[in-house]
Amino acid sequence: MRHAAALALLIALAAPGAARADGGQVQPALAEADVGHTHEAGHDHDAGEPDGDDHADDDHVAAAPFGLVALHPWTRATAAREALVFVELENGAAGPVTLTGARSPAATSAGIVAFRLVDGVAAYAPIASLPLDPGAEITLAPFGLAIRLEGLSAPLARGARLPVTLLTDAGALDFVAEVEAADARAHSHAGHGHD
Amino acid sequence: MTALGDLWAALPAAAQDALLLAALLSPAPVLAALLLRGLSVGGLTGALLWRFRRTNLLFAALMALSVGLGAAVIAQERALRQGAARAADAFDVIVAAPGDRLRLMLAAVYLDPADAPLLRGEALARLQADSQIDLLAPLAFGDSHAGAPVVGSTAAFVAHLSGPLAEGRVFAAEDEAVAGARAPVAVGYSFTPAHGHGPLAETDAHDGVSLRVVGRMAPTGTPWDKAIVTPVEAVWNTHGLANGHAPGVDRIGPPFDPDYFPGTPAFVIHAQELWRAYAVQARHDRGDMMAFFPGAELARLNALVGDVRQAMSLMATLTQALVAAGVMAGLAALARLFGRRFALLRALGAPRRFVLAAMWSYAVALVGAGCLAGLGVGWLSARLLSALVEARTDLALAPALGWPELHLVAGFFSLTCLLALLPGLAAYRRDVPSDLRETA
Repeated sequence: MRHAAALALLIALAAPGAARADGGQVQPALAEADVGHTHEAGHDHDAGEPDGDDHADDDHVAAAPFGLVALHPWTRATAAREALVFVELENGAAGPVTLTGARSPAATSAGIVAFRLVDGVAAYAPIASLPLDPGAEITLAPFGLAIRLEGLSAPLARGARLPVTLLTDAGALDFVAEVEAADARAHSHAGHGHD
Repeated sequence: MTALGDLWAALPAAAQDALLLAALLSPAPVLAALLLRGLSVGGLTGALLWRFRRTNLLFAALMALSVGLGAAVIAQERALRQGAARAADAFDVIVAAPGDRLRLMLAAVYLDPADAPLLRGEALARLQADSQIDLLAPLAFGDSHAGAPVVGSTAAFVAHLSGPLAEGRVFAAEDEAVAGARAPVAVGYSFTPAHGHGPLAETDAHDGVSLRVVGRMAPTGTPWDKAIVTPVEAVWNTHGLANGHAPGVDRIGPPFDPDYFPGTPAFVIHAQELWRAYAVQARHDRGDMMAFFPGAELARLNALVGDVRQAMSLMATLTQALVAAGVMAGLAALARLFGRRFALLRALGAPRRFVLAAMWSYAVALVGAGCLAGLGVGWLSARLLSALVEARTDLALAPALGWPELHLVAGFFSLTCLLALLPGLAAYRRDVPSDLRETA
């Protein structure tokens, strides 16, 4: 009976906190927090002067001749066949630009997806198009919009570069996404000034 | 490996879960096959179970309690998370004056009272001009009646929230109201809203105002079930403000006149298609107002506490393993008591493995019974916990034991099947002559 008393004590200790993060089924990409979300406060780069900053000749900024600018593209290291790519977009064109899709030589298919809760469960649903007003800035970020790559040909390692092409009704915009840590919440250079 | 990974990824979620469950359970049959091969230990195991039935019952009950509470808390946590998320389903995008999104979400979706700055006529004009918005409804909080929040909005919002009404009709005039499914007012009842919430609400602040309940919403499983929804014009009028329409315009509901718009703490927006919701959100999330998805805020919050939850889950699992280890220690002590009987069996020619197999089967029978009963305890406790949480939060919860709980219990069972080798080995290693001598 001495054992029984000890067991009762153990059970009392065991009871309070059994819980699991995600019901066991949410995709890894959804199970991560987005604490940083630095760009929310960090929109300090102006659409008019994307070339005037210290990123003029690296991969952090890509600009299409028709006026669309991609800033800080990034994704997470993964061994899965699927990845979400995030990027800040600015429509510097005089008219609206509609995002219509994406492609990448590293994936068999790609598309734009949007986060939503379906019956209480987190999911990214494909969307066919997304219009950007002239001058609009939009951030593709965890728990929001993203470019989903499917059928990745190789695992994405941290520090690698992933070429992605964003398709719009005005033309294509090529950029190279930085592969961040598997649990990254933002681009590692996110939040610094671009003025 | 990649091919296997692809195959796994191609399986439906239920098949993955079922396979994982099978994998988690597999050590038990493998061990059984190895240990019991060619032996018939059923009789001895049954005898052990019967001979020490009280102790056995106690062991199994303790294990059931430990397993059950662990499973219940996981199931309950998931039910609460999904119930809370479902409550946000009707709220695609919320637009409000810049500030604390979480606070605004709690106010709009869960009707948790909050003071928020107001959006004025310019914001209204911009939103009303947006052709991609299918439903634009102001939410005016601040009043209450008999503990139920009184919220001003539009008839279209009531229809969006509830679908067809359970009783009566939607309000058609400024002095009418629609009750939530569980609001403490009946159709036909007239009341004067109190200013504020809770015990400090001023019941006489709106004297002279009388609202009549003309309909009741269908249950939504959200805190709105307890609310009373009135035309937003009624809230403005009650507070002595313009009623959103130019003088002489005698109707309620949108569109509102920006020049006579007294302001609202929040708009709820619905767009038929997801891309339009995102386009609308992006367009109106700007310096002087914020637009956000309550669902995304909720998911972000869930992810934030996810790490803590995982750590707690790990601790719970480890503690369950400790419980199992304690039970096994108890069984090892029991095995010492059987020692002499086993020694007799061995002297009569029973192989060593027979003793090990009998002890192991005995322990696994106890653990198995504990786990099965634990699932029952878990189901009952989850329902009990849900009833308590529902009463406190007004969220409709659907607690059920799901795959994660089954996986947890299966993992626990397999782990204890391995641990159950310990008392068996203790019996296995005993020295027969000395045990026999003790008998003499």
